[in-house]
Amino acid sequence: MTKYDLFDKFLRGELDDEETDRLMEILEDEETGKEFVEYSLETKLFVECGKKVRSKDAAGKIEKFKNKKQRKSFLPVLAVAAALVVGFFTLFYFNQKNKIMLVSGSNVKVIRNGSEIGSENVFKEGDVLRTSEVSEITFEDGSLLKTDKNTELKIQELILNKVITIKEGRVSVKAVHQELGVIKIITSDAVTEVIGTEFTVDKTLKGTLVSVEQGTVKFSNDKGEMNLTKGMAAYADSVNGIISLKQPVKSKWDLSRELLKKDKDLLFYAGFENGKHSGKLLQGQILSDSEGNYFLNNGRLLYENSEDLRVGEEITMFSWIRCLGAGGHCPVLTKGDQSWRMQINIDKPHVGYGGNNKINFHDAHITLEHQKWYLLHQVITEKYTKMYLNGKLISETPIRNPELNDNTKPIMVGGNSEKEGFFFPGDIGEAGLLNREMSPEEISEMFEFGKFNNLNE
Amino acid sequence: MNTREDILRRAFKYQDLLETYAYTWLNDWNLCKDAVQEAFIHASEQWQQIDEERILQWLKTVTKRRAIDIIRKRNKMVLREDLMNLVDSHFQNYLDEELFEKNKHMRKNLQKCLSKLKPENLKLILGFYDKKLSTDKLAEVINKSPNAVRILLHRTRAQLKKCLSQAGG
Repeated sequence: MTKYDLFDKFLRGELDDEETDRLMEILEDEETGKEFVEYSLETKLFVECGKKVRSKDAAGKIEKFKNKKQRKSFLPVLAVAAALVVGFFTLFYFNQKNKIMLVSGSNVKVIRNGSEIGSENVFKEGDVLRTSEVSEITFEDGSLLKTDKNTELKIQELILNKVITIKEGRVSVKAVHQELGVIKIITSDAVTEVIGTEFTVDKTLKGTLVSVEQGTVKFSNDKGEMNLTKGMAAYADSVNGIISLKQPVKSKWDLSRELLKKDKDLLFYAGFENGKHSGKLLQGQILSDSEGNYFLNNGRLLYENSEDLRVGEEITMFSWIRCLGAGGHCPVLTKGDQSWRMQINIDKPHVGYGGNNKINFHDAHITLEHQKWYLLHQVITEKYTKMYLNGKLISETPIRNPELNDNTKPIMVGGNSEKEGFFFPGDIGEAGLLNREMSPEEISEMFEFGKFNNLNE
Repeated sequence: MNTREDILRRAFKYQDLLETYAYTWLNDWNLCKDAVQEAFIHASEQWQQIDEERILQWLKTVTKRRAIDIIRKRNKMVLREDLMNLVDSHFQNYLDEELFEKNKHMRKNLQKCLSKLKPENLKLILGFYDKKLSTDKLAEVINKSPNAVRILLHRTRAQLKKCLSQAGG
C-alpha cells in the first residue's frame, strides 16, 4: 500500500489500527506531512472543480435532448442510416459502459441495449423503462419514483446524481435528502432538479408540468427558471417558457383548465372556480368539496350573448359529470334544441346534433354509475360522432352533413334554453366547447390531468 | 483601519483551505461547509478582535473548535487522538498563505484539466472522492476488479497532475 493509499484511507475514514500506525510513522517526516496537507487540498479541489465540470455537462443535456429530437424529426432517414452505421459501436459501448445496480422496482419492463429483457428488479444506467401499470422504483438510498401507467423513462445516471429523462407519462418523486448528489428529471421542455423533496413531473403532449408536495425544486429551461416550493406548480413548454400555475393546486380540474385556456380553439368554457362563474345562474348553486368546485344537482347556467356563437365543421364538447338520478335527454351542455347537444339519456352518454328540425341522436352503450365522477367528451365532425368516457373511446357512429349552426339560442350548462323543464340530475364539474376535433391522445391527457391528485385511482 | 467587511472578505478567501482542514476531522464535505460557515459567522461577530496578520491562524482555530462541536453533537467517531494531533500539527504548519496561492492557481487550471477527462474517469474521480464510494463499489460500476479501479484512479490522478504541470499549475 502506497502512502497515497494511506492518505486516501485517512480522508475516507477507513483506516484500521495497523494502517493508522503505518500512517503515523510516515507522517513523522515533515516533508510527507506537507505532502499530505497538499494532497488533502487537492482532493478538495477534485470534488469542487469536478462538480462544476459535471454541472456544465448537465446544463448541456436539455439542449442535447432537444437537438436530438429535432434531428429525429428533420432527418429521419439519416438517423436510421446513422443508427445502422454506429449500431455495432453502440452495442460495444454499452457492453463496456459503466453500470451500477442501485435500484429495484416492480411492474416495469426494461429495454437494455435496445432489447426488451422483461421485468427486472435491478436496473442500470442507460436502461429504458416502460410501465403498463402504476409502478414504484426504489433507489438504494430510499428515494422513491412512482410512475403512472404508460410511462417511458430512461435512467441516464445513477452513480452521483440520479438523472432521469421522461419521454412520456408521469413520475412522482419522493427524494431522500442526500449530502451529495441531486435528482434531476429531464424532459424535452425543462429540467426539474431537487435535493430532498417530493414532487411530480408530467410529460404531456405539449409540455411538462411539475407539482411540488414537499421541499423545493428548481424548474428551468432555456427560457427561464423558477424555484417551486410546497403546494406550487408550474408548466413549461417551448412556446410559453415557464408558467406558474394557480396555487395551490388542489382541485382535480385546476390543471386541465390552465392548459385548456391556452387552446386557441376554445370557444366556450364553464369552470366554477372558487364558486364563481361567468354565466347567469338561473337555478341551483355552486358548491365546493375536496375534489373542487362544481355546479350543484339540478342547476341551470345560462351564457348570455352566446346566441350568435358559430362553430366550424368539427367540434368537441367535454364535461366532468356526476349522475345522481336518471332521466331522458338530460342536458349537460346545449345550444338550444337544434345545434349541438351533450346529454345523458337514461344514464347513457347521448350526443345530439340537428338542423332543419331533424335532430339526430346517438347513444353510447355504456351505463354510467350514479355518484361517480366521469369525464365525457363528444366529438361531432362531418363524418362521425365519437364519444369518450374517461379518456377512452366508447362509441363511434357515422353521420352525414350535420348542421351545427342552425340555431340562435344561447348556450346552457345543465339545461336547454328551448326546453325549460329539462335539467341534468347530477353535478357538473366543468363544461367546454372546442372548435375542432380533439385527438384521442389529447382527450386521454385531459383525463389524466383531471385525475391529477388521484394517481392511484 | 480594517472594517468588518475587509476582515470577512479576507476570511472568505480561505474557504477551500478551511474546508479541507475541517474535512480531516469530519470526513464529510457538507459538515465541513457547516463548520467553516460557523467560523465565518464567528469572525463577523468578533472581527474587531482579529489580528489581520494572523487571520488564517484564527480561522483555523475556530474551524477546528466548530468541527469538534459537530463531532460531539452528532456522536461522530474520530480517528485515534495521536494521529489526529499529528495531522493537525501538519495542517497548522503548512496550511498557510503559500499553499493558498498555490491552491488558487491550481484551482483555475484543474477545472480545465478535469473537463478534458473522459466522462467515465471524471465519474470515477467524483465517485471516489466526493461520493466516497469504495473501490469495491466502483468496481461493480465499471465491471472491473477493485485492483483495476485503484490503477485507473491512480492513472487518472497522474493524468491530472501531468495536465496541471503542463498548464503551469
